[in-house]
Amino acid sequence: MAKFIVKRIGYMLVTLFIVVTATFFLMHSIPGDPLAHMARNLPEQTRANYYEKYGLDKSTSEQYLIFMKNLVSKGDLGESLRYPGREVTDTLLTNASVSAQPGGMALLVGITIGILLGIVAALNKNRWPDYIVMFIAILGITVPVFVLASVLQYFLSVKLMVLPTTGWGSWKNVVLPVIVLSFGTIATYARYVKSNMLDVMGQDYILTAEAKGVSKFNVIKSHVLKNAFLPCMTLLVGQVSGIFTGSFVVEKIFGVPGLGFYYINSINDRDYTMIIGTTVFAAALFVFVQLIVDIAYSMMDPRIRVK
Amino acid sequence: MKKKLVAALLAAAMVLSLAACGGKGDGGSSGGSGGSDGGAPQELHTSLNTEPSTLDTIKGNDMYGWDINKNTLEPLTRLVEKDGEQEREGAGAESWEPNEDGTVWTFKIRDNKWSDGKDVTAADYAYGITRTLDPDAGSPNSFFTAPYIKNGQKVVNGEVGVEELGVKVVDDKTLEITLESPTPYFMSITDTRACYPVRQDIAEKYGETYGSELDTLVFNGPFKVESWTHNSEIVLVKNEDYWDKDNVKLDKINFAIVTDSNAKYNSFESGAIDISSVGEQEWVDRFDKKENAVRVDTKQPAMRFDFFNVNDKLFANLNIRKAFTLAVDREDMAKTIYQDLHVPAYWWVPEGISTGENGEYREQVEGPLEKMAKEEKAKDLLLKGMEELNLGSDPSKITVKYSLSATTQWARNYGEYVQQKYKDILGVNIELDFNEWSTFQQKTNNGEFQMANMVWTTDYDDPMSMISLFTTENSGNIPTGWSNEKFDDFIAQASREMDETKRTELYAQAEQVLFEEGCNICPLVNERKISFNYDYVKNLNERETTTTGFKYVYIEGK
Repeated sequence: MAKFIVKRIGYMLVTLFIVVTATFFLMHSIPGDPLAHMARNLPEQTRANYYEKYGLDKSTSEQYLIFMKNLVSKGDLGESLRYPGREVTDTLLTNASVSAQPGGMALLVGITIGILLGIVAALNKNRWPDYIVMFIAILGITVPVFVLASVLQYFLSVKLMVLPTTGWGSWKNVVLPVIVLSFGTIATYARYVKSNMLDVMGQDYILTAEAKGVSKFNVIKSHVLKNAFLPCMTLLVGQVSGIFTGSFVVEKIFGVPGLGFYYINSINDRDYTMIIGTTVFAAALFVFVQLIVDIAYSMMDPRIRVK
Repeated sequence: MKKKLVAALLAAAMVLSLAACGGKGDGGSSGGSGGSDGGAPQELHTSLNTEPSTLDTIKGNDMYGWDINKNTLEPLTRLVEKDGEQEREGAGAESWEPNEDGTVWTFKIRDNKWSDGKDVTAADYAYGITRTLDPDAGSPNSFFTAPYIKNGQKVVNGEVGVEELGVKVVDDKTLEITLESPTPYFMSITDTRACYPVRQDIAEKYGETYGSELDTLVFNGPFKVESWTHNSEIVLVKNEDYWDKDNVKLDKINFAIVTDSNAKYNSFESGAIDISSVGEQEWVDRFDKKENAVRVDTKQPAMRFDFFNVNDKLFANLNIRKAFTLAVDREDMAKTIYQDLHVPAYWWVPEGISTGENGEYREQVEGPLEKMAKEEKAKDLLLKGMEELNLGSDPSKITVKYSLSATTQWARNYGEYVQQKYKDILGVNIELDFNEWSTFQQKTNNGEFQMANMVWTTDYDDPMSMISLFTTENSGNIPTGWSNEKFDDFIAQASREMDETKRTELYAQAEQVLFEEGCNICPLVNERKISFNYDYVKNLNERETTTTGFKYVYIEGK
């Protein structure tokens, strides 16, 4: 097991190295520069002074070496170019912790409700509860997040005035983002759990269990659910890392000061250090959560052996 | 029972609103006695469209930081609104005086305090001005003052040290600025960010992080920042140490940072914010019907325009450029594309800019394109130009690449409109080229374009800010590649002319040359800003170039 983990961490580092390098050269190859957010052309000398100050006058490979040296020796991702004076690392941590609040709650709510609905649908296959759940699931997958967010904001904040339109700091600010963010998760899990359960229920060992006279409840609890949940773990990888990286659209609409904002805006602003920072952060989270899930898999499912 | 209650409430409301009306007459225009309305808390809720990049006036260049800077720091002077007219008043400077030939300006610094208790001195202003020009600081604001202050450009270029700059601290209360040459509109620059005070000790103590967090900042304006939650909210409170605190009525200003425009409108609709600018017609219509919302239309000193690459084979020809410029039906564009939010522009110097005491420039000078449009026909000019270039007489053989600086749905609709119109009027083909802003900027700077679309907003309140963009020296700003000696000469003369009327005349002549001999730009619309505020917010500025921020605003009758 220890050997497995060490090996995986080694792979993780290689993956991250490749991600950083590829991102670095890709972002420098797109036209434009970090002065672009000033939305105008500045005189040549002003531009040159700015370039020199931030080391952008050096060649890309030279900039890459400096960046890598700082990253490896000090774990330093540098300072944002768009927001002078702010460390990329600080921004990532502060904003990720904000994103994680609605994100984490939405994931919990989404998974709980999604699994419950999935079970209900599977047990009532081709009867009305199944149809209702699948209808909700289709809505959840097809209705774009921004539509749901805007509609909820309009009715609950503008018409009924029970919740604030935007802002951050009170529990009221979290309610709408959680509802909106969990909707898709509910839909995904409901469908996934349902189809996995149906799959498992058709297996021979279920028939065996039933033939042995195990009660329906116990068959479901001990055999069906346990086996049906395992594939759901794979889904979790993306979602757990997703709660920290936030959602651009939901955060924008409800004014949540999370990390989602930086994923889109840093690219538009050509905020090089922030682009790298956000990418490394997302990649690191993803591979880390994947490792945890892989370990969990091997512990929960004896069919999967760690080699 | 219920009915009676409603009736009683209505009656009470009427009495209250009458009382509020009564108060308006004596409190409103004088801007003085707003505080007498004891009931309403003096709190203003407004919004910013995005997080300011920094609150450091040296590094910050966006308008969001500027909105905060204006309210929390004291520039040398401010452009103040009084009964619809603008007037320059002393702010950080109590008074100022030029020498005889207008090259040395002496500012008497007012007694004022920083929020940490220290006195405001001439050195704070000198440091702000000098540091902005210091190449080490890499400030994007150096272009404001570099051409005017003695040795400014040389300092920016790194040719001489900052000690050589024409900024001198005579004593704690006296600041002396020497100019390269007499600059009649120099005072218009004294309230730009390049002339804001910066405390050297604080800026040096925090170094690169100065301006990025609240605890690295000190204030000396009407308000000070109380809290700053990044990407969420900035709260200002009244600065009790401010020299003019008796004229500041608001106790608190809340800037919510709302990046989504629909969320902003929803916030206004629900009353969470008191002011909102509105860019979409459907929301304008909706707020127009809102009972207690007041609509304010502001002339924006900003132009939306196309520009031509004079080094391009086709657009090297003046007649072709004129043809493309005259072919635009500006009335139709304003109506179809902008639903009359913006106005047709037959000029380059936009509305909302004034020439010193003479007031609004556009009221004194007719738009040059208006006359041209009456005298010449776009199609004839095109054919003439084609003949000169030996391109035959079939416009449909011409294809022009039209570069846009956005990839949004709006840009696509706009592009199609342009395509259709040029096809209808000139018979030429337009190929659309959509770019992200950064890509667009790079392409146009490298001259890899034929015709492109852009917006430009003025930097300071004088026509010079707009018209000087096309001198040979400044041609990098809007890279059309055009250069004209006669034009340069008018601008050079205007930059020295101390007489406002003569200077206006020189601007008018330069603008004439720009269109008659250059036509390297094709103005489309002059921007307007429509904003709404609830009627209990009083004394908001009505002009875009005013630099008092929320200093004189108050709440009454809420």
